[in-house]
Amino acid sequence: MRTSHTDRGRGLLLALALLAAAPGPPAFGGDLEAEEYKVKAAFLFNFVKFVDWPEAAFADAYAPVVLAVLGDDPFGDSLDKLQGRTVKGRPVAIRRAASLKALGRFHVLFVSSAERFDLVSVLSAAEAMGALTVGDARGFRKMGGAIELVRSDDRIAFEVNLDAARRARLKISSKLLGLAKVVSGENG
Amino acid sequence: MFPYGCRAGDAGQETSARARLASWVVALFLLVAAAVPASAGGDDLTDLSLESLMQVKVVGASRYEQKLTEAPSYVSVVTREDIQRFGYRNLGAVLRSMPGVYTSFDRGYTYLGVRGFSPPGDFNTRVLLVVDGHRINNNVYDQALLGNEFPIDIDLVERVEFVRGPSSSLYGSNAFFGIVNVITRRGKKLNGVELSGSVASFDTYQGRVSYGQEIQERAEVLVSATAGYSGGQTLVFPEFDDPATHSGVAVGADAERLFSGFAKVVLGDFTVEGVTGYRKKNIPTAYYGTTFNDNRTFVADMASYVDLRYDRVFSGDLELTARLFLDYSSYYGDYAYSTVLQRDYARGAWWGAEFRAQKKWWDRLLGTGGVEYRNSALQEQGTSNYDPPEVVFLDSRRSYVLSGYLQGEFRILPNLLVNAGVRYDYYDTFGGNWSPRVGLIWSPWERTTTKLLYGSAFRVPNVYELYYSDTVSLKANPTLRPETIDTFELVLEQFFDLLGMHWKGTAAGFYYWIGNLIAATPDPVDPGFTAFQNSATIDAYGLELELDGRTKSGLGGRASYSIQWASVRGSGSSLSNAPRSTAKINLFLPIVGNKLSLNPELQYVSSRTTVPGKATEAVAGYALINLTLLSQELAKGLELSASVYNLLGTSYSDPVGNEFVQDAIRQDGMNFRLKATYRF
Repeated sequence: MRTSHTDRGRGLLLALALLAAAPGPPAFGGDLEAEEYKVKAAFLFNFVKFVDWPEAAFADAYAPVVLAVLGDDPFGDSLDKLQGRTVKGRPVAIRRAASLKALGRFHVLFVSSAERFDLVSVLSAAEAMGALTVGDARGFRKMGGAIELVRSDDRIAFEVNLDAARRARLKISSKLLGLAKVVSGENG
Repeated sequence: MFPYGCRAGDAGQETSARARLASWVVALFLLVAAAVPASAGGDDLTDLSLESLMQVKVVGASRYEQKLTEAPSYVSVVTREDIQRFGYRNLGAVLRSMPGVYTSFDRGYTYLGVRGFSPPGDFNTRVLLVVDGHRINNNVYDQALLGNEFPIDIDLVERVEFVRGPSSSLYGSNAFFGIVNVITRRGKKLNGVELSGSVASFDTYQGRVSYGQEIQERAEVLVSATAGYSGGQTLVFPEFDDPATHSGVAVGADAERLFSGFAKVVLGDFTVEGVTGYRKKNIPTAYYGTTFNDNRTFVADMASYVDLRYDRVFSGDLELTARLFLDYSSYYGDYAYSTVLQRDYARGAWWGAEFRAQKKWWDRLLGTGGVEYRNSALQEQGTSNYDPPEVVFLDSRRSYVLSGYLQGEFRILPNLLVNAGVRYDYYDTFGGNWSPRVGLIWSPWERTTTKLLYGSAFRVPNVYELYYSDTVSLKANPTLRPETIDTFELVLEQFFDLLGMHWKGTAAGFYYWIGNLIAATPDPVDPGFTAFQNSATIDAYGLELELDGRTKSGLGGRASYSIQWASVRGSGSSLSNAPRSTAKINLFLPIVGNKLSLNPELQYVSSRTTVPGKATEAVAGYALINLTLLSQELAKGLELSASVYNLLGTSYSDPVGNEFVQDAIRQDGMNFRLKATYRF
């Protein structure tokens, strides 16, 4: 009796291990793979290229584009690697803080946590400051966020809330809109 | 010197143990080998066009992080930030800050009370303690170690969730009143070396050294070690105020020592976590009739495990998790009697595997299914005398449980969610048990969520309750059956803005009944003895109210109030150590931005009845104030905190069981801690 238990246990172990070792679904054309927030950081950087802020949003022609993270920062150091790179002739600066007030002036605001119960008012405050709000909490767009990063299978896609962008006086290029999975207002 | 459970004549078993070890090694090797090709992708993702970015496959840990507002439970969360702010010293202190939760301490272990249920003598068997998905409750006493005996330094914890209500539909036995879900920090976030040291009242010192780093793309490591010592207090017990028992003064019998080690390695889709924790506590209370003021009486607990996890998201929104785990836990204690020194001990070893698949269909349906096998290879308990050496009691068992579960989260309307699940556990010792749960989660308005929940959970009697016998007062009872609980809950969550602040209000009403409650009661045949028996049916209902608020500048806090009624069906008698009400207030007040904050905490617990047979009927209610001054980034990487616990010096006591001469054990008066942490 005891022996048979042991054998069954060993069999299970091996089966698990073999299953894990088995190759996953075949990759087509050398698919790139990366961690979720590395990809999302790259998306943030890319959005800057396709969004126009009013002149007044920057102190001068050399002022940086500020990417801000409110609260919990899921990016690790992948955002820091953007620091100092240039986009549309402006350097990129990264800022993190627990409150909007502490963030000062920014152009893109990323809010990660799904648990912020002040999300609706944070988003409307950021919008009033002329920022592009980006987030990945479920329902982010419907709560007034401008761009929601969503998972589509095992890839990242995004949805755009044009009402939010309009209220923030932002112009979003048609190319970006063309790639969006959904383009609508809050209620779409 | 001591007949310590090692038995001769098991040569055959040794061979099979070696074979088992070999198969572990092979399995480990294969798993690690599979991890290697998974790492790919460079740092130059930002050079990609949006179109190409949208083609990058995302790999890594769990995706379906559920919004707490959509979880089929009333969940409380304490984050690492709160642990720093309020100077929480162990997991028990974290939990007792949560709405409706209270703890008791008998100068040995910390016991958790939930929704008016914490009978003295219960070893936290009715909450399931889970660390990073790994079950901690041991396989002899079912005990969840929550005080300083918890095997992980609380500073390594990222967040603690308390999920109220029965969760046997996902977790099986012990998920009776709720789950304590501990999530540890990530090496990547620690990012360097951390040194921490503290000095506290009662001759208490603790130190920790940790290292965490991202080694390369999708590979990170976290290692940490902690050691602590407390000389303890000279305690006065009026119950022993007699010249023969040192006038009730226990000197040097309250010391505590602890060591723990933690390691976590993430490599691609694989995570290996290893934990070991040891805590030895001298017992000054002279319980179980031991000699008063004899510092040979102590308890020591060790909990260790290795957990290997594989997580991968496949195309088609399919996520797979496989786990292999191996646990070893031990307890031993010396009990000094006038005539003999006795050793009581237990050892448990178990291993198992779990397989879970989760799939999402069109944002509408999220299905989870899994199987779990857990084999208790060793469940041993014993009592022996030192001199002359004599085995008083020895019991050794093995058992297994095989389980399967299914859960579906179906979004019927954008604002209406049904969550239903069921789990079947098959015990070779008890047979099968079904645990269902169903919840309806509805958001009538954007900032309002209501939940209507029903769940059923069970707990199988542990080998201590079944087989322990000391031949003097406690009898074994191998005929025990599992106990069950059925819970109904209505939860309302509302977000709102008022007075320039953001608020979240929660109200939860609950009703539960426990059937076949396992409790130590007088033996019907032999009234001189007690035995664990399926005794009473308990009915309880209550209400929990919570209000969280914060301003834009970072000032905030939460307040909660809970009230509950629990009684024994038939007799209508109330339960011991069950306060009618509890209240908590926590505030965080930034003084100089991030650099300095003052964080007061108030806890109120109403009067609690003692166990039947004690001289006093109840202990008085109490209110405590704790205060922590926290400074972060005063110098780069430096964090300093100063805490005063029980600022008002409130005198209060926790009820204890009949193994104590005392009716209740007096708790610490005003005490302090200074702590410094340096990161580089």
